[in-house]
Amino acid sequence: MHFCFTEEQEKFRQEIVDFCKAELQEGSRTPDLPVSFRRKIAEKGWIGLSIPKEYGGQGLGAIYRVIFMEEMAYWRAPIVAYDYGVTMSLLGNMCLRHGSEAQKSEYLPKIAKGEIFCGQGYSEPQAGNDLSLIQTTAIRQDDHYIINGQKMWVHDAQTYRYTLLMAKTDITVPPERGISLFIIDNSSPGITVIPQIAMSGQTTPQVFLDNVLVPARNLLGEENMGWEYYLENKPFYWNKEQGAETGMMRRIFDDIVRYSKETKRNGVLLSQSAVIRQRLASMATDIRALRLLIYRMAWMETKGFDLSDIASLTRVFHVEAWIRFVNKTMQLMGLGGQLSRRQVPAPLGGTMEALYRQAALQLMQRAGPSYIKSTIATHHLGLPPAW
Amino acid sequence: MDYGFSEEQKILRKTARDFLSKECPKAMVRQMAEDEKGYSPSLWKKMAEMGWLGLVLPSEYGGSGGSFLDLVMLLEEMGRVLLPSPFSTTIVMCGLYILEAGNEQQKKDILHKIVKGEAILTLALSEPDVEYDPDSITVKAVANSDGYLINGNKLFVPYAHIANYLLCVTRTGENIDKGKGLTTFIVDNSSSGLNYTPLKTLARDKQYEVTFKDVLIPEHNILGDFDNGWRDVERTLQRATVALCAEMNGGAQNVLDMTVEYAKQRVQFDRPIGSMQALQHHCANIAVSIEASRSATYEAAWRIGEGLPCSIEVSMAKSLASECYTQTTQLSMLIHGGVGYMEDHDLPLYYRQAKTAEVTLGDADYHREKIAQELLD
Repeated sequence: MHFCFTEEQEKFRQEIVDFCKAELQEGSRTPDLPVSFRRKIAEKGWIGLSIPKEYGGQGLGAIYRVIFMEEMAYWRAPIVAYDYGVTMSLLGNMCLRHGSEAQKSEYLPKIAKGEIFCGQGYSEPQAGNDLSLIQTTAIRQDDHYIINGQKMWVHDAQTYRYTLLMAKTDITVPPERGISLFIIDNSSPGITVIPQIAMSGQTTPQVFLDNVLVPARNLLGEENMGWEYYLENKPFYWNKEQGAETGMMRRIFDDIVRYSKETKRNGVLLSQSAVIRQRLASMATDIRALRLLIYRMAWMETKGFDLSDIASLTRVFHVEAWIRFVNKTMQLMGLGGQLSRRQVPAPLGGTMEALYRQAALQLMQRAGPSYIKSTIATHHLGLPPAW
Repeated sequence: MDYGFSEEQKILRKTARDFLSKECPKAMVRQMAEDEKGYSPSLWKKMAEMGWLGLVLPSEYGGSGGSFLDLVMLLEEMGRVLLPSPFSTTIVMCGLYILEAGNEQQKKDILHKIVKGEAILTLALSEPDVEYDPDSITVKAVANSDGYLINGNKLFVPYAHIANYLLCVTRTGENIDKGKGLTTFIVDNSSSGLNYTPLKTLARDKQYEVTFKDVLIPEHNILGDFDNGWRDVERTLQRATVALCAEMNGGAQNVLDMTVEYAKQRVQFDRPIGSMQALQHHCANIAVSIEASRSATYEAAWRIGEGLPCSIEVSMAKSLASECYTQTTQLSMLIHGGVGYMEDHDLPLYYRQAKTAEVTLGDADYHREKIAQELLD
């Protein structure tokens, strides 16, 4: 066992830190920053860091990916989980593992350059945690599929170019054997996007598909194998995002420590209150444990181990730690915690008010913790299924 | 980064598991709770033959120079079966203390004996009003013409009654600065003026009150620096804490395994209770908390082995293990129902041990305050 980064990993981490410090100074956060920042990190080869070299990436392993996500989130880089993470862990990873040669050469270099983004089109009104209930169909006709149905919570369908869509290609077999994945261009005729605003302020639109014509070459991998691909890809998807979440928690934690050392409430420094000291210490412990879990999972990925158990365990710890974290942080800031961004005396610039709203998402997205606990019970511990 | 165990470590774990499942059945654990010695000398001898007593001691003292992580793997297996033995007190609290702080003579005299299974040692630290705070230690050692006279009471000294040597932390000077004025003495159990009183405890383990009345100790039995012994004690406590965490994680894992097995077999309302989501989620919660606790313990153990600063990591490991083990045994009680409450079931053994381990070497609150000191002061 060895719990430190290798020299090379540490060098990589430091390079990101130096880069972020230089690019994200006070006053640099103008409206054009996301675009110029993305271009720069694409030039550095960081967007494609886990894409093989022959497709324009760097071919670096999972640990580098987590380091990248963690540090970018720590420095509040304007790219993180959504754009880069979702695109790479969905389209990028699926393409790499199951895509045709043509798909790999078409999409991977563009992902590596930061030119295209892809969201997820899995859920439907009747299919949440139980995705086997999806009703969207894709019927093959010559060298096209015709897709009809409705999708929920599609990441940025109004701005991303692509959606990775789950649809039924065989309705005569049990759902797990009749599902396929398609790379859909969101500008295709027949697609209607209805924005819905989430409590976090993000849009997670509904997407209606009415006789949408998709070229057969956009079928990802083999027909009717979509369910397998989906299950296999879940751990990567979770792990990617957790790197970013951990970085974000570390950052807020550092800010909170500073805040509690500087702020008096009722005449006493927060950092000298026994209760608050306990809370801060347990937040630090949660962050440390979460980091250990996500890096272990990344290490297991590099070794080719099965990730399903560790992914579920990590995911539950992650959700619960994150909820504990926002609760403790809000408690610590007292009345001030409710103040929004740009409300002048807001502690930590009002970050927590927004994060508290956003935190609720953890309780449901990518399968809620209750569902995952049942998975741990049956798959990892071998208990008989409840249904 | 490398989160895997070496082949040697895997073999060590497997050997330990096989050996202990044969040599340490629950009947033995129960028997030792009633036994005056509280451990099995014949098993101790076998452990010496297996090389366990010298696992982390260097070859020049008869050991095999293993790493602290190797030791942690072994301790996890011991905790799994609740092995009643003075292993951790002898090896972790005292053997490694002597290796680090002792002079050559002390090391030669004592470490060889430890490795051969000929010496059992224990640490006398806590006092009636003191848990782990150096500045409150009152047991005094005063110089006279023949050496030092120790007077006072030490509490919760594990296996004191059978220990050949006690390492006793005493006050020898003013505490002008944190941890100053403390000196550790190697006390031979044949010294006159020592009195042992057994304590009746929750886990029915062997803990003693030790009274020192004019116990004369020669000067050459000072372990480490005079008046400046706390630094070494602190490192000793860090190692002992991580060792305890490993035993706790092993115990918790065994309780989870037992519980899952029971939940598969037990049928109520026409189905195995393990198919009910409320109980499934309890089991999943235990699995998650063991995973987190074990990861933190391994990291702390690795840092200790590498000689890196580790006070935060040690405290994090203990605060996680403390909450994990106790909660695990309580949820397991809940799932087992009445049968788990009966003394002839194995669960009460773990239930008792978990709470004892939780408060030993500082509970979660104690360690969180230590973390806070590192982060905030």
